[in-house]
Amino acid sequence: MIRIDRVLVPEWLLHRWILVAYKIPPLLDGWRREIYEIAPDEKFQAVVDQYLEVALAGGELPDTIAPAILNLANDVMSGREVTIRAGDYISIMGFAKGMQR
Amino acid sequence: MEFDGLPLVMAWELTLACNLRCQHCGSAAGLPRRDELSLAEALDVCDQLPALLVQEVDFTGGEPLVRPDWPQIAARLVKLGIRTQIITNSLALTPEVVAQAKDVGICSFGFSLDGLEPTHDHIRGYPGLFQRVLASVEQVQQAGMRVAVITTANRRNLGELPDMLALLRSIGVNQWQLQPIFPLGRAQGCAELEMSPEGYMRLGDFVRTWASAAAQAGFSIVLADSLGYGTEADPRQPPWNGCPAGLASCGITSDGKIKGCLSMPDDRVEGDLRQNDLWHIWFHPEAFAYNRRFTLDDLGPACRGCDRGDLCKGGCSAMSIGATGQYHGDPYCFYGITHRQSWTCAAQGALRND
Repeated sequence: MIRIDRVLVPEWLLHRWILVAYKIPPLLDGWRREIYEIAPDEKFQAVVDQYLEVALAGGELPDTIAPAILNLANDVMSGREVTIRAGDYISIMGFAKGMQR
Repeated sequence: MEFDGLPLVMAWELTLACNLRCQHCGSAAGLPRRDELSLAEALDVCDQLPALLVQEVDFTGGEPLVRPDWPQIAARLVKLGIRTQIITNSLALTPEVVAQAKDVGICSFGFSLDGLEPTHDHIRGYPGLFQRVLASVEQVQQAGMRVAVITTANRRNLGELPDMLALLRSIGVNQWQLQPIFPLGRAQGCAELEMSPEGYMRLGDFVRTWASAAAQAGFSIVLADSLGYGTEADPRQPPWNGCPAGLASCGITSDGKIKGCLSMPDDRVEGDLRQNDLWHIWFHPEAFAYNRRFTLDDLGPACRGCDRGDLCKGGCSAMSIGATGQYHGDPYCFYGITHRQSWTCAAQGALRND
């Protein structure tokens, strides 16, 4: 079981975020970063556990999450620390929530 | 590629009720909405935010502090690891409330201050309020929370900005956000406060003149989303690159509706948290299409032909809608004010050549 608790936010989003200033001026120090921690989510983790195992065994994956799961599998196989990209996180979480994108 | 944005910053209108009736209020706040979220519903909304990686929630209103259960909502957000801030007019901010805010983990307060004493109290319609704001700033600072001041620039206070800068520095404030008055809500048609294009240029001149020197002294003059747009009056790096509504941020109204930005009128709603959860609203294929599917063809009349349209995408959505009824066409952009004449001439020349 691989615990996914870090999400890599795309650079375009970071550039937008630091400029969201229509309310309180943003505190930039220490907040402008690319990786955010996510709280454990049972549904999300269940999808990861189930399909990562399928992927590592060479099985067939649902189309909507196949690229995301394969990216994770690639990280695992390479022994890298698993940091999920925002797009992959959204795909898997959307799948876990039963939402077709 | 699928949309991979997340609402890292959210503004939350806790209630539309307000203890003031300010002349320039874009929300025309005063009475609460008819069916505002209950505490249980609000806490459920809080619990939905971590999945969307929300990092910051700004409580606004109305006046958020007149909602009695704001501490419970704030405490839930803080427990979830979300930085929580309050924007207030300070009228309800007693020493007990400051202590309560500190206890629940509020990290920052934003105080509205719209001019020197006579101007602020006049615009806000409450004699003595200016002094209360200054006292509140001091209380919050003493409690160890961060303070920012937010000023809505308008016709009446434009000439006071240099003195306000000196005042804020003298009381230890080091973050000052400037935003122009939006022609929305009670500000719509308020001749006493509305700014002319020349007024916007004066505002730009003020920022250009003072922002760098202030920054060197450790004081930030921060431009709101509706100012600057990559001109020499905009010190931001990287430059402002278009309205973030629906891309990196969104707003929750007190009755659970989702908008790209709370400054937008109430008919610009993307979903209802009583019918769908935030995840489904945010990732709905049609959601926030005005920003997620922007093309240069969407530029409004005020921006069509501008050589910087791909940078700012027509500017602040709320300002554009308030002034023109359409997205992507903020007519008060500094660059537009100074260059629009030449675009129009160029376009007319091109038509003649055709």
